[in-house]
Amino acid sequence: MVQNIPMVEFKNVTKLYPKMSKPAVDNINFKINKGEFCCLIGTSGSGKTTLMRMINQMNSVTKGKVLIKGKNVKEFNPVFLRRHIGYVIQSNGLMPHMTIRQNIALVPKLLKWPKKKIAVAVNKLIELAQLPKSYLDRYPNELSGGQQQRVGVIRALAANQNLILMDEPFGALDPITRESLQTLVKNLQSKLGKTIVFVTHDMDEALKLATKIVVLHGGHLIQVGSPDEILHYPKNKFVENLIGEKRLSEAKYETVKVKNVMLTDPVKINQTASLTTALAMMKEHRVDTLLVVDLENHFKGYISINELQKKYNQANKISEILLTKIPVLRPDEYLRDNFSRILSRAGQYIPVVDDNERLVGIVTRSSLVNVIYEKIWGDKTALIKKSEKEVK
Amino acid sequence: MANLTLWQQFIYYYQHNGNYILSQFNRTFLMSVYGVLFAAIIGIPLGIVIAGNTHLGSFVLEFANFIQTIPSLALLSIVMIGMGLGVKTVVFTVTLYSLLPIIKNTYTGMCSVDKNIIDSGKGMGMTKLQLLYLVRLPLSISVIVAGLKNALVIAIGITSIGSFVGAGGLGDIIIRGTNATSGNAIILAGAFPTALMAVLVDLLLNLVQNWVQPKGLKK
Repeated sequence: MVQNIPMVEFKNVTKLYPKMSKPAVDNINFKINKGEFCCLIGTSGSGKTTLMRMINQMNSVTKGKVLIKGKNVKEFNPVFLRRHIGYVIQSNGLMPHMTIRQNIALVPKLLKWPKKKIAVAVNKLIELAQLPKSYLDRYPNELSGGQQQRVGVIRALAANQNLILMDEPFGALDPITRESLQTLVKNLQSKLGKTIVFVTHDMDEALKLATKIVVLHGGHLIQVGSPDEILHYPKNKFVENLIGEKRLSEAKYETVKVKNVMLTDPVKINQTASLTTALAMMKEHRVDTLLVVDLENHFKGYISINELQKKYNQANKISEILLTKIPVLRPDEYLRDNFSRILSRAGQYIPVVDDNERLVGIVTRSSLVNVIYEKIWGDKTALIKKSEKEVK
Repeated sequence: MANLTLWQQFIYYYQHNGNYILSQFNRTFLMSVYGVLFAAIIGIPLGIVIAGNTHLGSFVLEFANFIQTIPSLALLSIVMIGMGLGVKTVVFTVTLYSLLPIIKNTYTGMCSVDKNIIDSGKGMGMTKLQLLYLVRLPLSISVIVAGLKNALVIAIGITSIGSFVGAGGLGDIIIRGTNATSGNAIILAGAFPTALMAVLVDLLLNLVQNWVQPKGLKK
């Protein structure tokens, strides 16, 4: 649902708090498109919250411009602006003296919606929050922290706001509750096509939710990119640290390509060879199948010992017992996309063929085992080399 | 009379001066209430204003504190020099004394509202006024009422002393008792309703305090 229309745009934005020598955010430039889920991530003091709060004028802009749909936020009446931008803060943002119904209806009421319209909206929203309607007449302190924040999230949608700001909304929740709320937010966002600006210090959260991640440090913008880009091409050591050793090695495994794990000298036979040669070759290499190629190493198929034995007396050419129904892999395909295909081959290998249909290698189950070893035990190239030797 | 016990004398006084005591009771009560009312009119808005400004806040609180340290009889006399004898002087003195508890509680109540909730209200697009009457006042009203309660209890004490500057009230009866030979029963006749008034006011305002406390905040 991401559209190429900028919803929020930061242009050379600087924020200097009074009595501070260093700016809280320094010359920031980036765009958030309509329908995007943008996570601002950084350690505390990185300026991520400051930056977000400039969007609804909770913080003023010292230098530069913040644009919403191309219009400078300074041109809006702050009260008007805030009523049209959803706002969710850490778990205690609900009005404790108002019922859940009153809390949800707050912004529509400020906007002077008719009562009927508000009632309809409230009933719809409590369903979106996956809470029973009976909760509407309860007070926030009668709900659990997770339930309160569910209300907090849907309250930000109450007046059909298209842009929603969230400031570490799930920071105070336990991991299980947090995960269910993340799912809720992600679903709502993709279903309703909202643009969300989400401040967090939790990389897991950012990677799970965001379509765009903005990494900030000490008021400077370090890197902007999709979760994949951030994960696979972290710009510097800081971003790497933020991502963490474990996720980096996981990401490495994510990008392992077929050519990185394939064995490059498969046992193969020319299609013109005789069946006797084939049988001898099988014996010599102790295999039950042979890959068949032509003179230019173009992959043709394979022969198996079963077929060979069955038809040994009737056939005399390899092409007569050639089996062609076999999946192939390309060297530049990601291994992660082919795991199940490799495993479903029930112990057999898969040939790897380049773009010119030439046989370049095979991937076996043990290739996968090596990758999994690496993921579990860390970088153990020695292990791979050792096991490669064994296979050879 | 002399052969009656203290208790019998007390009853006798009530039987013969019931209406008088009731009117003096009223007088004392009204003087206290008026004094606190004026203090509330000044003190609550002042407390709200200074809650947003710690610098001004500490200055105003210091000043109110300073008034509180002056002994009540001394302050009454000083005010009397300016305003003369009578009710006005007592009401004004009560107002001065009530300022501290009212300003202090309003200030504390306002400051103790969770910053996150104010931030959330502001972020949702409330105007300053809406923020005040939709969020800050409802959340601090019970602390403010507690301030009014303290002020009123103190006020009753000061009003009783106010008889010295000719304001009348239950204090008159007490002074009459102290001037009479064996006037113990008369002292008691004035002191008892004064004490009763203070206790009742305290109880009543406790109820009010509980009543104004928003439902969602009750445990």
